[in-house]
Amino acid sequence: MSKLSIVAYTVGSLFFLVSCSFSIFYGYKVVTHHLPKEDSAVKKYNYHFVLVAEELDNEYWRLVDEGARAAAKKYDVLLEYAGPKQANLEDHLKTIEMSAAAKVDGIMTQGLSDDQFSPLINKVVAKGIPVITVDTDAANSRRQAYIGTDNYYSGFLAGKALIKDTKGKANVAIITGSFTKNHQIQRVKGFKDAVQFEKGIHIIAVEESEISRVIAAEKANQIMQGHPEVNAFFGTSALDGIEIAQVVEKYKKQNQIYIIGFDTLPETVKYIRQGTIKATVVQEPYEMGYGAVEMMINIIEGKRVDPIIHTNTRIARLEDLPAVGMGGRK
Amino acid sequence: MLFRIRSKLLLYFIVLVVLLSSVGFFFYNSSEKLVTEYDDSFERFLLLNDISQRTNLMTEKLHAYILEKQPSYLRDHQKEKLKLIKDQNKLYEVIHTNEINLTNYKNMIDSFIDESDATLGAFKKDEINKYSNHFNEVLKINGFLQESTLDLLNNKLTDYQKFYGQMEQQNHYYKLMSISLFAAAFFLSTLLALWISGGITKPISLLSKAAKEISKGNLSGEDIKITTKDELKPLTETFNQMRTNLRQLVKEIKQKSELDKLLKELELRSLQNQINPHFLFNTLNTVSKLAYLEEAEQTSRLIEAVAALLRYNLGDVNKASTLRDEVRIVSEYFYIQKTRFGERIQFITDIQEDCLDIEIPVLILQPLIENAFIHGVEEYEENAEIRLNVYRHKDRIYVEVIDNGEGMSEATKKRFLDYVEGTAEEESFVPEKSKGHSNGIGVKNVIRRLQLYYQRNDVVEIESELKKGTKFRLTIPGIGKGGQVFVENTYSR
Repeated sequence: MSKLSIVAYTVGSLFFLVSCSFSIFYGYKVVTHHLPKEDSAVKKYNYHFVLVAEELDNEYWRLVDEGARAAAKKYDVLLEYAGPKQANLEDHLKTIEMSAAAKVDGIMTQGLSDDQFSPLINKVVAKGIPVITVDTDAANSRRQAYIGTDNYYSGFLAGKALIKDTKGKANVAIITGSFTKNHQIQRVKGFKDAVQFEKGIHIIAVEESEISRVIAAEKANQIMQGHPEVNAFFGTSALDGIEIAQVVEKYKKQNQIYIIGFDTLPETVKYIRQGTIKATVVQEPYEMGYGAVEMMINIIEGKRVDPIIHTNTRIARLEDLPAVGMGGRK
Repeated sequence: MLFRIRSKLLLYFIVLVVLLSSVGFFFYNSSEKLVTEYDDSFERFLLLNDISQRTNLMTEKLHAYILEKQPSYLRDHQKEKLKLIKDQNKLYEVIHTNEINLTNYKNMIDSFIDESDATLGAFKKDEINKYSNHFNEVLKINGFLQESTLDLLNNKLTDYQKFYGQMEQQNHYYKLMSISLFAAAFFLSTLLALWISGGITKPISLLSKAAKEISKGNLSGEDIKITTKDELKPLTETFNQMRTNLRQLVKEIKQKSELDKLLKELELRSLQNQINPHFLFNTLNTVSKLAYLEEAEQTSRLIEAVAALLRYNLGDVNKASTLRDEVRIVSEYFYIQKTRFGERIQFITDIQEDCLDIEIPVLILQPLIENAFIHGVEEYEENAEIRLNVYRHKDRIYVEVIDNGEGMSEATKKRFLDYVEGTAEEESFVPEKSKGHSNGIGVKNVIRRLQLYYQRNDVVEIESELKKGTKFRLTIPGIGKGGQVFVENTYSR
């Protein structure tokens, strides 16, 4: 064999081996490279419920969702967490309508205002989809049940706490989430009823924050300027107390002004630890979500259900904090 | 079995075609797979789009029907409805997912159909309130559907982006694999081509080289060895056979010419001596008779012996003789020498009679005896001895010429043995200078002629020791007369 042909054979077989190993390598790559497959395993659930939140990215509603999800997992229910990205009544209503059109097995929502929610809830119930109101009741609608805070009672508790802490002497300004939403109305009403017969307590202003932090801050500022005599605040929605505390800190009057808030958002807890917020009303959102799903299952299965179930409400002060934790979960 | 070139080539092409077409098929398959993947993904978007357009169209037709009450609108509406239901069913086939969105979407389509049916039902019953209510629902749900479609499209597009990236990656791998696979196929076929073409052309080039050598007159060289088993194998074998035969033939021709040359040498000698032999013989005979008449019997006998010797020596060298004749002439020679040297020399013969009737070339024994005499014992003052033994052993006849003379030196002996073995050919044709009074036909001439006559090398054995003597032993095949025909042909020229 000539030298040339030996070289040709060697080079040829070398190239062949190299390209062969390359193709094996890439072939292996191709075989092992998996395209992301959609989860084709269709899981069957017993029911499909929708929890319509007031605001999707809201700590409080997250807790409700968490509770509901825990129950849903237990009872093998497909739970959909829907609602407007930011509190918006129209979107809220539309979400309920869409869920109804999507023929879900049950809807859990707030009954924010009687005018708009009651007819819709009635229509949905008429279609055969059970509705449970959570957190806020639409008592005049044909909703099957309500689970949540007794808002009137929570307002009442707040009033009593205020009387106790201020020793019956205060000029109180109230910032409420909404003048039209049932739960806010009930809380204000309960508060007013609690302080009604206390001579030393005057309600000097009631303002609406529209569940917006900016507006809440704005309103608190107005009150501080318009009513210098104010020495107590009551914020009836979760965000109001925080914004009031911020404004009061700005005026450096945290020692003169008594603030009582609602719910235990992390910021609220922070202000309580700082001493700016003196007390807050604690609700049980997790319990609400969990209970709502259980109730819904009972309703569908035809069991008798109490039309109104009130979850616990308490007043938490600085000394209660460790026990209270984040939002009052058990 | 013969593995033919044709089948070799056929196999190569089949391998090539199969290799290339399987690579091609692989490419086609992978690209097809990719296209299907793209297609599947795209089909979802189209389907979603279809559904949203269809619900729009249905709403429009429904509206038009309610306003204008034309049955064609209703027909269109129903047609679209059927298609919508089909699309709805397809939705689950095309999009395998467990998403809530899709379940909702499907149920929404149900609601949409229900409501539009309810609208139609109420419309037919002329319940204006009801049907406008239902129609409002239809509009609303249509709106939801449009929105959900957008949502779903959005979600799917987001998913698809991820999918697309991965697919691009895989596509890239496919491409690299294809390139390397192509390269591998290319190199493999190149190697195969090299191998097969080499297998065919190598024996041919060897053959042509050997043929060129032969045309130049060079017949030597190794046999061509090839490992292939195709048509070239018999060709090569035949070629090798042919060359061997040619070589053999040339060798034979050379031998023949050498024999001729030797004989010519003999002939020349006898011609030199052929000075009117009849006159010489007649004269010798007359001398012999005269000596007899003058009662010199011994002289008469001596002259007779000389005459016989002379006659035999001057006879036709081309004719084969018999061992008996040879022995007779040697006895005459002994007689003459005996007369010359008397008691100084002893001639002893031990001959089996039945061995003598065998043909051998002429003038074989006498030169050997002469050689023994001249080189062996001539110098001895007494007790010189020359023996001639003829006997049969197995199927061969041995003729031994033994003297107790000087013996040969190692060099001389070796030269003889080399000559006998045929390894010292270069000096084969150099005629020896005659020494003393031999008739000049050398021992080498005798050996060579015997070798050529019997076509074998082992005709002579030489044993010799310095101061002790020399022994020549001729071996003559007793029965097989190998080379007889050939030699006769040569002689009868």
